[in-house]
Amino acid sequence: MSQVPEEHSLKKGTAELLVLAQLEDEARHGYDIALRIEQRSSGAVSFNVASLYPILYRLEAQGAISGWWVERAGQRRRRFYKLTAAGRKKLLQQRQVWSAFMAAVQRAAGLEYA
Amino acid sequence: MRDFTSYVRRHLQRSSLPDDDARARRYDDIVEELASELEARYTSRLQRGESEEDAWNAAIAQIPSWPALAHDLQLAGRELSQEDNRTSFRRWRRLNPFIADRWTRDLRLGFRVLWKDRGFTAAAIVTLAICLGGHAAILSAVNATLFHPLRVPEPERIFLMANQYPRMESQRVGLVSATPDYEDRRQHVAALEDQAMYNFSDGTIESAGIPTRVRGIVGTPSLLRLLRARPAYGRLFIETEGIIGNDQTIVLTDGLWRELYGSDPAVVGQSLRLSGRDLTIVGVLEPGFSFGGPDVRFYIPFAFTDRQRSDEARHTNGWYSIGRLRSGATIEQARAQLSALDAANLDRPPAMKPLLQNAGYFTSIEPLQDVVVRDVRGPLRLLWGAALVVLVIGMTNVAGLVIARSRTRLSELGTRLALGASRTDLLRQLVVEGMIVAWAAMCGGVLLAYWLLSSFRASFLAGREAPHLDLLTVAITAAAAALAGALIGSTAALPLVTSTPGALLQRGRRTDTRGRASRATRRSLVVVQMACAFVLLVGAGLLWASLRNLLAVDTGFKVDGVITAAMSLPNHRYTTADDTRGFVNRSLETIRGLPGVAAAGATTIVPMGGNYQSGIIVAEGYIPKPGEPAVSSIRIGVTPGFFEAVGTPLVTGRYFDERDNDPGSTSIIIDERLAHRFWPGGDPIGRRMFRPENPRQLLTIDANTRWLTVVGVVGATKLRGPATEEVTTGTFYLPYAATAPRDFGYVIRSHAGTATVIGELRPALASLDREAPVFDVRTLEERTALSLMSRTSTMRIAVLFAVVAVFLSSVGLYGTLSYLVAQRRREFGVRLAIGSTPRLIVRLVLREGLVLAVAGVLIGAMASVAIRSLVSTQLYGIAASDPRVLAVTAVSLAAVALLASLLPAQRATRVDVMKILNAE
Repeated sequence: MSQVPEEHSLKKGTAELLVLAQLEDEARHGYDIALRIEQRSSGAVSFNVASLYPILYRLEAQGAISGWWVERAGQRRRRFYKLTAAGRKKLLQQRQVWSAFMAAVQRAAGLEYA
Repeated sequence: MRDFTSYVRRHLQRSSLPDDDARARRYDDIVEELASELEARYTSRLQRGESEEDAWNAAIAQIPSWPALAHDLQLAGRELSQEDNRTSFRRWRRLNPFIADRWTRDLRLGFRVLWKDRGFTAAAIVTLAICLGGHAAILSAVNATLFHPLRVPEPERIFLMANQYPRMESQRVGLVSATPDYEDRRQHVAALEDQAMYNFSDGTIESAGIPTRVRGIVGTPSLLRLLRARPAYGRLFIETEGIIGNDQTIVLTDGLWRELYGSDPAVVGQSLRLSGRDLTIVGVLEPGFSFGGPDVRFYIPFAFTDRQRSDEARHTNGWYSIGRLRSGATIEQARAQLSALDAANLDRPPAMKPLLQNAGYFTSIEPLQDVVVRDVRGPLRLLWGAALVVLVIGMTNVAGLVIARSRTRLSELGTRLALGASRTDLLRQLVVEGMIVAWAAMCGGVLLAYWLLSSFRASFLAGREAPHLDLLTVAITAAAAALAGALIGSTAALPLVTSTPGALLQRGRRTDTRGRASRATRRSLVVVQMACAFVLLVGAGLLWASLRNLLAVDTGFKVDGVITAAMSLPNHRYTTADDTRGFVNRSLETIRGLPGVAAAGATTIVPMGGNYQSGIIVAEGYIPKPGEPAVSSIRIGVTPGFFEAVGTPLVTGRYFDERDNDPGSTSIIIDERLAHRFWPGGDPIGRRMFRPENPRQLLTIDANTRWLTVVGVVGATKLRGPATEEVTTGTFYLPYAATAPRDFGYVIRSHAGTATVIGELRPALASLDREAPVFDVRTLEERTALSLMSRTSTMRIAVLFAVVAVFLSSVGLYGTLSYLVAQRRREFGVRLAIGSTPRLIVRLVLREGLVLAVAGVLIGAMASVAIRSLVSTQLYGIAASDPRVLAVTAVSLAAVALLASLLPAQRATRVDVMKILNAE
């Protein structure tokens, strides 16, 4: 059995949260998700296809998101994703975890107040 | 337009993708989506005016490593298949606890975590080890002494029969039978396949030139066979050795054989001199065989004399009569056969009938095991209960520790859970941590139990097989430790199961107020602990008070400066009573001549030795009420000087004097109780009494009746020790010279310190006869203490448990209050800020501690009263619900609780107000 190392799970957890968050209000395709993350983080966080796609794949397998093909005239067909009910719950949970965690890190690191 | 589909297809092989994923999308689907993703980026770059070349390069750079992508997809797919395919081998492997690599990793991590939190780990391990160790020690004693008191095969089929005379006051619980009963029961009690009669018999054996007293058993030849003893060398006894003349044989235990003969197998057939008799060694028993206690070192055959077989010997009870139940037979059958026998024997001899009827005679039969453990059952059960209670306190203490620790643990667990660790992973990790603690505690506990057993066994269970740490106890200890480990693990894991990761992180925050449930849990744990500690403390207090009462009991002896010793004259050299009388008189003269000796006497029963003899006594002219049983009192033979030596006060008349050294002396001295029984309010001096030697004499007074004249009345004594039950009918003293038995004891009053007299006693007596060894030389004070030893050690162990219980529960209280104070730091800060004083804060915390303690005390008091019947049999002169003991215990426990609350209370005042308020 492979054990997911800590850094990996941190990154994995972050990435899932980021992806889920982009799907909160509307359905998007992969490139759109990547773009929004990059824009909203002012370029600090970016995903390429190689890192984004396995996340989508896993989230869909978990049932947190569901995808479907959309065909538009003159365009190659694209796969859109939206949050499922389970995904919405997961997003909520992860938000709580992360805000608590970040608050803890901030306090612990003396970032919040002296 | 570039062909992204074929590009992706070229780089991502079908075989590199998860293949065992039922729900995974088809390969084509994946290829299509990846191609679409790449193309979207390519198109957008083209639209921004980049060259086709640049756009292409940028697009394909999105997937820098195809093998890495394939790997990530595989991982994701695997995760999926695990959750999906519940019966798959992988899932089984994941949950299977016996996969080595997973467990070694968990163990490593567990050790690391526990080491990081050394304070917690040490506290938990030490607490559990103490509780488990104390419990294991007691359990070993219980297992060895209560559950396996007889170390012979099928002990549950061995029964003890005894003649009972329930309405005769001195004979409350008989254990013994008379010699004629043996043949009777062999013939008429068919439910028993084999029977034996025996008693303990001390003898003198010369070992390495020094005559030493050795304890043995004289028993019918059937005894060893019945016990299923097996010889290591030689043989057991044969039936014909139960006939006088053939009984000059002896079987040695393994221990005595090793000691005397250095394990020489050629001893069989050799001769051994025991108390002056030359006996032939016919066998050596297997090692490990033991019956009648560890002191028993040899067996000799019991050959009945003609008198012992005759009806005259009936009801002269002095022998243990045991039988082994036939397989398929029941104890009820045996009981019925015995009562039929009782009915048939009621008029043997005929004169006995009214006497036996009035006495309510019957033959009892009960498992020998029950009889053997009777006097230790109460104390051992009590101590076992105490050990269990301490164990409960220890476990709750550790549970409290775990709850306190889980506060910090929760954040960590929440984070790990959020970051992708599975709940099973974390659960397993917590259980492993618990198990590490439990395992260490078990090792510590077993070591502690071993140490406790080796230091307490000598005192507590004297005369019994020393308990060893047995396998069952170790197994139970391991089970208890495992339970504790599981408890630790699950207590820590409980929030994991019931909460979301976010909630865990929230709850982990110190300033959070939602820990109400765990605070309530901790409070109730403390109350339970306090209640348990209270019960134990009350128990220990009661035992202590009982012992104090017993030590204050007036035994009728002035124990200070009195030395006692036992003597057993070899019967081949002292064949007549005259021989014995001569030696006793000579030896007493010698002893009285020793410097420092104020008075000395000989007695058939050494005071406080636990032994006694009783006999029927009748006063002239006393008319018993119809149906009144004969008066049976304690009977002692003493020489002149006895009363002076032991300090029994003279009430009226005189002590024995020189005149009573004449074997024809008809003097008798009785104690106050007996005097009151026969002559209430009258003067017994000069009145006549007689001692019937057989039942015929009891009923017919004639010219042959040997009258005794009361010459003195002395104070009542407690001959067997302060703890023994009163024999209400009292004691009568006869001149030793009248019977002059070869086994007797000395009592010596010294005014120059007992040590010097003891030092001179042995050589002085050896100078008279070196084959007559004096033994069991002790001061009367020592004997009194010995008679109370089982109570003393019970009390000590109980106090030890109580102290541990109080300590643990005050630690528990301290921990809980510290925890509560830490949680309410903010509140205290605010209180201080708005004008409260440190004094008020201290009072607040102390009150909290006191409330918990008082709740515990109240519950404990109720529990103490509820279980008072358990302890009452062990008490003396104090009620199990004695209000003084309860009150003292309550006050002292409350005081300890206050003390334990003081530190957390002070800490509460030391909060930094500004910091707290800033953090708001």
